[in-house]
Amino acid sequence: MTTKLEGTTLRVGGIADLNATNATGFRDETRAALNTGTITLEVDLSRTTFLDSSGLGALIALHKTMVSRGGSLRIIKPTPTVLQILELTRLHRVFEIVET
Amino acid sequence: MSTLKIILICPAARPAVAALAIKQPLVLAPFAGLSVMEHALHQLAADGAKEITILASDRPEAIRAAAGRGEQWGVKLQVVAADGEPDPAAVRQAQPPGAGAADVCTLERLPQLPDHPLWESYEAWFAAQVALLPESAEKLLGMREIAPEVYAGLRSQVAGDARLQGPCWIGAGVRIGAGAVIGPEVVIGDGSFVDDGAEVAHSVVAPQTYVGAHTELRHSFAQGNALLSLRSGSRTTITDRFLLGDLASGGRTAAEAGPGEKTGGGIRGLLDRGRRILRRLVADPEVEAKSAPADGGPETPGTKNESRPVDD
Repeated sequence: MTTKLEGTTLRVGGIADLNATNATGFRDETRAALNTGTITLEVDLSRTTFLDSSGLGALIALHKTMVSRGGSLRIIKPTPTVLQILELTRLHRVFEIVET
Repeated sequence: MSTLKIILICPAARPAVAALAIKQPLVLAPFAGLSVMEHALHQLAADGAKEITILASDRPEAIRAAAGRGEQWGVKLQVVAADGEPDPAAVRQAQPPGAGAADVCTLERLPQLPDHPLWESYEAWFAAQVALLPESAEKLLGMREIAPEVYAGLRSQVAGDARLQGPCWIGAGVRIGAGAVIGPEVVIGDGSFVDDGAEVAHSVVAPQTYVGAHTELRHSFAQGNALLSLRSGSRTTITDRFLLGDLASGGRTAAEAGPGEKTGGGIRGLLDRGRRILRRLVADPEVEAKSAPADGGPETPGTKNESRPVDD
């Protein structure tokens, strides 16, 4: 997993799978990388091929974290399979999704 | 059709719809309550065919098992395994001249749907079966129109507050949960269960498939735990059985489950837990998935809603 802080935006990427094995680590590492000035969290899922309910739970938790500090979470370029899962669970209506 | 003998050539593979052939040969993929092969045999028999030979190169044994010897259609039928998809022209040329020659047909289109190519894209495959729904409902025993363009099969149960919008097809033994929204353009195969609050539109749910509570299927083909986008062709496997699953592996169909049960066997608890998790996520995204209890907790008010059998 990679993290890059640019101004008020933290970008997280390089995630192949987001599942029960790594979801908690992903959530905690991302939270640890946030600083007090971070307003936007961008989660790049352009390389993610597998997402399950644990991964969804981690994304929801981060969404909650960002909202609680007055910021937001964006999903960047989800792969078609990830987008299918977000749509199946209706979370595409909860997260801001940037497809291009 | 000019003869009583037919040779029917099954497509081997079609790259544009390759995902339809993962779990079965293309011609056995769910299609408007039956399969393409069954619809074709119905029509050919109705048109007077007496002897049908099916040439199949992709899993001919599965086609043989599905077609039997043709008793169901009142024809004499045999399935011949072919080494690669036969060329229709070559098969025609090999026919003896005169009255004993068989008509050679392919399954690129159904005889009853000449304007609908089947395998050019997933959307074309979907559009063809939606177009066939009214005719298919007339053909299948026990199907009845319970609302305009809404066809339901025997032993299907629809919750009192579920909303149905035609055209849609609810197969035999299907259960539709409280508050579910079905349609337009939906085909739900026999024995499937669409749980409370789920929304399904412009989609096909294969037989014996569980669609989780509060999920949303649009422009999709769900077969067991496999989910295919009819628009992008993207296919993924859902590992959380409370979202999408194969009821056949649970032991019983939705209709066979008791009134208080959601589905058979060991997946019931999993599904109940999943329903709670997803309901919380959708209703309140601030709640973490992990906070959902594994057991206990109230049912949704909707689950107490009376289901209405549609065939009483």
